[in-house]
Amino acid sequence: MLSKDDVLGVSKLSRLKLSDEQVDKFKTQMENVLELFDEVKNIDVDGIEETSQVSGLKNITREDVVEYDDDLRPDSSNDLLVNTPRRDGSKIIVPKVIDTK
Amino acid sequence: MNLYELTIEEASNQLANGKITSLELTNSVLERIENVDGKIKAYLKVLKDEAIEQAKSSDERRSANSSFGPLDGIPICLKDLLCLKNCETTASSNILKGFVPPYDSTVANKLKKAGAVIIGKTNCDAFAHGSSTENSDFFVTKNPWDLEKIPGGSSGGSAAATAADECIGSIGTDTGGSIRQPASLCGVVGLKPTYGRVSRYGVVAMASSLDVVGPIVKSVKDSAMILEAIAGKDELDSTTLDVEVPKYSEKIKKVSKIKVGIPKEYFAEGTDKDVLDEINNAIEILKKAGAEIIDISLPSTDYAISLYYIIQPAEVSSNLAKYDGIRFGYSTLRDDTNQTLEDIYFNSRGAGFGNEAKRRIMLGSYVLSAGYYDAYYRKAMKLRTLVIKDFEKAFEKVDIILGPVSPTPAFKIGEKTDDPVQMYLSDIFTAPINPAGVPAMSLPVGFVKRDGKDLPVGLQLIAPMLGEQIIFDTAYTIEQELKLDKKPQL
Repeated sequence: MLSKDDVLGVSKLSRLKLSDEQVDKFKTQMENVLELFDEVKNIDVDGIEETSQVSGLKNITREDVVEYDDDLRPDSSNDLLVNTPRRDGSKIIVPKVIDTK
Repeated sequence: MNLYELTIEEASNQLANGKITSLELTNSVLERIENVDGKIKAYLKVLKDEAIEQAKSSDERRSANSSFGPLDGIPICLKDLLCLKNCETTASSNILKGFVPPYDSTVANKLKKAGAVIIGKTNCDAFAHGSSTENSDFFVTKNPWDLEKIPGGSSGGSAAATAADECIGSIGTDTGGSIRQPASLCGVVGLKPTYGRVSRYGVVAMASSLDVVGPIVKSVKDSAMILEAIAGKDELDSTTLDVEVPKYSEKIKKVSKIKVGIPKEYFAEGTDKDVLDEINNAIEILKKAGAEIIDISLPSTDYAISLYYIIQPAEVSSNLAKYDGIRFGYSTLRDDTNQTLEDIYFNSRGAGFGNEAKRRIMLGSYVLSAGYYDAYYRKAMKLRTLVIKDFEKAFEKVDIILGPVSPTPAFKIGEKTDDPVQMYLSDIFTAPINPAGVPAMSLPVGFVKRDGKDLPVGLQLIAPMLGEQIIFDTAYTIEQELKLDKKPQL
């Protein structure tokens, strides 16, 4: 079963701020879901290969050429940044992450 | 008959022979939305002015003999997971509220180029996380057959809009049943194409190894018409298959001597008896048509839901990591510039994501974290191989597999919202399909009475990889025999 610290640990990994009430609620709900997974514990999968995707495709490459299309690939960096919370022209503003002192 | 009731095929024919114009058709659908969407709440946004403009352009093209083809002038709505250039696209989530994509998803773009009139964006569970549309961060969509019931999910808005004739056709997405289950519960046709058949470029990602885009429409022929318009290789989605797209709709024909597999696990205890009666009735139709019915077993069904709910949240936690409050979406940085980078991540995600997204992100982080990766995620990837082998083995003996879509008809709004496990179990017959990548359809085959109302029942048809044509043919055979014409009373 999960401890409260487990849930807090996972919320930290997930970069999610949770209220105390949410921590308690999610603890129970996650426990219930993990219990559902118990049914796979005893299935023997020794020697079975892993599947991560089913398309059978790998290493899809193309020429390294920039292509634009008005509707699918807009060509202006300005257009692509219209949804950015804080920016200065075409630069995204983020808080300082390295202190030089 | 009102124009809004038409199927794509009917509307397309009437447009082609000049009996109606796209403007008349579009206005009829817009009026229908105005009259009934207050009850159904299928739409997040109705693009009235844009739709009328597109309809007029379509009519001009047609009178100039330069129509773009069968979908030209047909009003279609999109699940709000699909980006539409310069139109707010939210995935029904608060964290994407106000997000205006500067580009089209490939599917939206293909539909536009086919001349379709994009009539609006439909509600869904936020980020497609859910089986009832109750996880939308905005509001709950109602089932047109009984407004007290859920429409299914996550593409509940598209399915409800189609069932209530608030569109001529619609687009949904399916990661573990999100096209098929709402189509089943709303009594419309929903197709989950083969993985990689349709581009996901510009579609808000849920679980990338499982996600597909497909039609939710009023007839089997319509689903074929939409699929041939949106399928195909796309340079912008490297998972798309480089396989020619057949003219499915022109090739559709009734089946006779096919081998139909009935998996015993899909007919075991736990499935509503009345639902099974309707499914068995459809089996009889195929028998009469000359099909050979063969009992098969898909032993992996018993644990497929677990492996799905390990792999899917794992991929969700990775895909939703991009919502960092820095580049786009809800951000506490907009109002408070005095935060550290970590503060922005925690606060923006904490406030922006709803409970189900949070649960899935945390479950995903858990099954991927050191110490649990082998027990959960790696194990699930191995079990996935077993699921694939199960289907491969079955398809050595049969051409198509048949069973229910959902173990029950539509349930009551609020019934399962606080019990994620019960909610997850409603995907028990649909979720095993996506890890295998094979195509599957939900076809309406009848009704069951619940609380004095008729609730639709969907039949699931599952084919081998790229076997969409046999699905269309089999479904068409049943559809033409049943000729269901009941409509919800609104």
